[in-house]
This record gives sequence, C-alpha cells and structure tokens, in this order.
Amino acid sequence: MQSEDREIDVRGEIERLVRPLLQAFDESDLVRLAVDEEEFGLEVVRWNRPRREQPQQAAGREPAAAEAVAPERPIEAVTADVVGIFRNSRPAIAVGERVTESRELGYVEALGIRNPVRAGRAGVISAIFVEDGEPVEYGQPLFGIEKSQ
Amino acid sequence: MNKVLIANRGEIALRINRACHELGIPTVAIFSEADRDSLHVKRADEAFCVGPGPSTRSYLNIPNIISAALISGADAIHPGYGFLAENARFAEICRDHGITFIGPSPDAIRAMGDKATAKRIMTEANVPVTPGTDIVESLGDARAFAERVGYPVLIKATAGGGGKGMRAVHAPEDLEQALNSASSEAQAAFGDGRVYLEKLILNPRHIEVQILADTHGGILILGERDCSVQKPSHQKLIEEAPGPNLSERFRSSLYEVARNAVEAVKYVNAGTLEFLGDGDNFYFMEMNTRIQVEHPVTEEIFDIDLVKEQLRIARGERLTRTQADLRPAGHAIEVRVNAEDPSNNFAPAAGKLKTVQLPGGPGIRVDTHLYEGATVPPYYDSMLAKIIAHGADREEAIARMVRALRETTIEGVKTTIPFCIEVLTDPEFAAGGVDIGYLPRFLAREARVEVGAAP
Repeated sequence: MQSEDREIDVRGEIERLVRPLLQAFDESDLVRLAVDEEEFGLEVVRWNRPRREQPQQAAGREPAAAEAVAPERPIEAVTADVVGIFRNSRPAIAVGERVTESRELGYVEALGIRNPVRAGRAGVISAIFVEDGEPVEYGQPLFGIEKSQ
Repeated sequence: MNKVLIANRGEIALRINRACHELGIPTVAIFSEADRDSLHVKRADEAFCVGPGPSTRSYLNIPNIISAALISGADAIHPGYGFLAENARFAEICRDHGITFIGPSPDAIRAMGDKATAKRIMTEANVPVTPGTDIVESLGDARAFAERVGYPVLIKATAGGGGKGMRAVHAPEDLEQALNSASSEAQAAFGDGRVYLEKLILNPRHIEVQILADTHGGILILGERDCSVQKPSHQKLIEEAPGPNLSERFRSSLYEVARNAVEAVKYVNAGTLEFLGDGDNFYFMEMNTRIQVEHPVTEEIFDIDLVKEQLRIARGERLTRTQADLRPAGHAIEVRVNAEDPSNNFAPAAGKLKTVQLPGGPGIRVDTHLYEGATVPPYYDSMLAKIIAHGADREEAIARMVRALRETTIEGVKTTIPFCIEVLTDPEFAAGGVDIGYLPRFLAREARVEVGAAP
C-alpha cells in the first residue's frame, strides 16, 4: 500500500477499527482496554462500573433492559442439568429439524440413570454442540433452538 | 490413586491441589456457576461445573459430584472441610462406587457426628468429658448432681437444639424453677420435656489436638492448637500452636488422652479432638473427622504436610514420621482474613476485589484463592485468605503477623485485617492464654471506648 493512500485513509481506518472495539468494550466487563501497535495506540478506561455489575437490590428484580436487548432471532440453548455422558436419542436429532416442547433430544447418562434432555420450547434445531458419548457438565449448552414465534 | 477429585472450593481446594501435584497425582476440580473464574478451577488439571451458585445445588450435589468423578476417571475424592467433609452417607456412596474417600470410615464419621454416641465412646475410653447426668427424673437427682460438681450447671433438653430448653443455673435456689421452665419449653418445642444436667464451664479455653492415624495402626499426636479467639458466634478468628501458658503436665496428659481416643474410635486419617480447657482440667467436646481450616499452624511448627499425609494414608501407606522424630519448633499463628465488617457484627460482604496485595518475607505463609479482579460470591463462607506467621517464639510470631497484616491490601470488600491487628497488639492477647470470652469482652470494651469518645 502507498503511503499517500494510508494518510488519506486514517479517518476511515479509525471508523472501521475503533468503533467496533469501543462497542465490544462497552458491552464487556472490562475496565481498561489498551492497544499498542507500531503506528497506532489506544487506551480506554472505564470510570463507572458497568451497569450489569451493580449488585441487585432485591432478589428477583431483574433489570428490564435484559428483555429489551434480546436478540432479534430468538435462539435459545438447551443445557445439561446433570453431569454425565451425553447420548443421542434414536434416531439422532439433526439441524433443521422442527421439534415440540416435550421432544426428547437425547439423554445424559449419570450413575446408571438416563436423564432425558427435552427441547423445553417448540422450534427448529439450529445447532448441535455435543456428540454422542461426550462428557457434559452442569449448564453446558447441548442444542440451539430457534424458537417458533 | 490415579486421579483425585477435589470436592471443595476456595483456598482448601487449592491446598489439596498443591499436595496432589507434589505427589504427581492429577486433579479434577468441581465448581458452581458462581465460581467459574475461581483459581481452584484454573489450577486443576480438569474441571466440571456441578451446579448453580447455591451450595445445596452444587458443592453438596452428591449425584453430580460422583458422576464427575466417574466420567473423569478419578478414583479418589478429597472433601476438604465443610460441605461434604463430615457426611457419612457421602463417604458410603463413594465406597459403593469404588471411589476412595480421603478421610475416615463412614462409621467413624457417623459415631463422632452424633454427640451422645461420641460422648459415650469417649467416656468408655477414659477420656474426660464434661460431667453430666442421664435424664433427670427428680429435683433431688438434679440437686445431688449440682452439689457434687458445683454450680453453675447447665440444663439441656434431650431432644434439644438451638438453645431451646436450655438454662444456666448459678445458685441452688434457682434450680427448681429453671428445671420446670426448661422442661416445659422443651415440651412445647420438641414434644419431649426430658432434660439432663451438665457442669457449666464458664469461659473455657478452646484447646484442640491434631492427630494422624494410618491403616497399619500408626498414630501421630501432633500437639495442640489454641483457638480461643472466637467471634461471639463461636467462629474461630485467630489460632496458634503450641497453646500458650500450658504446663507440661497438662500437655502430656492431653496427648495421652488423645491417643486413647483415637484408638477407641479405630480412627484412620487426619482428625482433631476438641477440648474445653478449664485451669488444669480439660473436657472432651467433639471430634472433627476432617482436615481443619487451622491445620497450617501445626504444619509450620512440625514441618509436616498434613494433606500429603492424608493422601498417603488413603493409599494405604504408613505415616512418614514417628512420634519420636516429631519435634515442634517455634510458634505459629494463623489469622483468618474474612470479607466481614467487625464493626457491624461481622456481617459478611461480597463483591469484586479491586486491589489484592499479599504479604511475604520471613516466616509468612499465605493460603488463599484471591487474585486481583476476583469476585467474592455471596453464597459461601466469607474467608478470603489465611495468613500464617511462624517465629522462633510467640513474640516473634506475633510481630511477624502484625507486620504481614500491615503489608496486606485488599480493596473492594471490608475485611477483618484492621480488627485483627488491634487484637494482636492488645496486651491481654500478648500475655497469652485468653479464654473464649476474650473476644466478646474486647468488642464490648472497644464499643465503650467509642461511646466514651463521642462528644
């Protein structure tokens, strides 16, 4: 790249690089962000604690903002609620498959007990995060479901 | 022992992880969703989330913990202290799944966990217990006992708990009325009005004996610890070894009794016998069938690694030391640095730690899971760190501890550090041998000074 081109492009580069960086910083828990490159340096420091870091005043009082920023496409994760070995149901669920709320997507084998993993909401399977025979922990995402509207 | 699952969190999980790694044993950590970024998770070779923040659903979740052990191939579980450490059923479940529980047998845990059984076993082994009666049938029985052991006496409900049906009686003329009211209170609370009497020991010292026992009959008595500096809630705050101002006669008698107790229980692994010290006498209170928070003070003066000994015992090996080659050196003190506000009844605090600067230098050991930016979740014990000072004598150990506490900076939550410095520099503590009433008296004195200083 020619040096003249670069000079002309500085504003555009800042727009392209810095804006998403600031946005990511704003949404994170970070209090300080520093970029130290040869020809470019940036340091951002957060003076106030991020909004969601503030202790909740009373149990069960979720900030209303949480709902407001929900993604447009409502993809939800089906998670494991026991520690064990994940097993596919037969036949195995595939991406793109439409499922009902009570549909068994697989099960987690723990201490000889078969713990069914149910979809929990009606929708379309958008992702499968786990393979048959894989050890899973509590809260581990197993499937992504695009909820039916 | 191929792999050890550590069924705990915080500093003790790290402590066990260190011992395992020094012995070349891989480790598996468990954690709750609130502890995902905890140091014990990072230090272990593998880690499993076993549940959400509240410990009843995570660190006490037996099926998930056993399942994590089975799928990770861990063939032993170290329970640490608290949580499942003294749960006989958990020790049984481990055994049923072919997992070694690093601790005593389920029978020993169960026997020592039941106060009445423990007291009976100890009495049979000639261990002095607080003098007491069977169920009191008449006022005459009660009067005869109180006159024999001397007032004050304590009336307790057989079905008791939480102080219901309990009365302290300081003079003979109060006995009859106290018996009646304790009995009717117990009847109302538990549907069982039966009561018994015990000698009430006012402001005893808390003296405990550390023991180790292997499966080959080897027993080590690792001296005593004095844990008399306790908060009004009876939680220990400062512990030391050896116990200050104890006669050699008291000590040798205490150790002999401890050995008898260990033999009577057929105890294996690490344990602690707690006694109430009253002048030249001591009385068995309870036995803790686990490693204790304050074990490092014993480790420092005997230069021994109690957690590694626990692992070796569980592998069926013999103790690495004999009683004859155990010689205590110097004096060690431990301070519990808690996220608590001593000026507000030791109310626990939670939050994010902005600054963490820990002490070092000669004779200082710090056992902690803290790091800068770590979060103190609200679900668990408020202990942040244990600072242990070892010196040639008690004076040096105290001076080192005060110096170490002054070097320490923890910002983000209130801690017990400034309060502990005040206690350590108090002439009464410096003199040594305070009783369990000392800290409540100290607090009352401080409160009076504050009121007096107000305009």
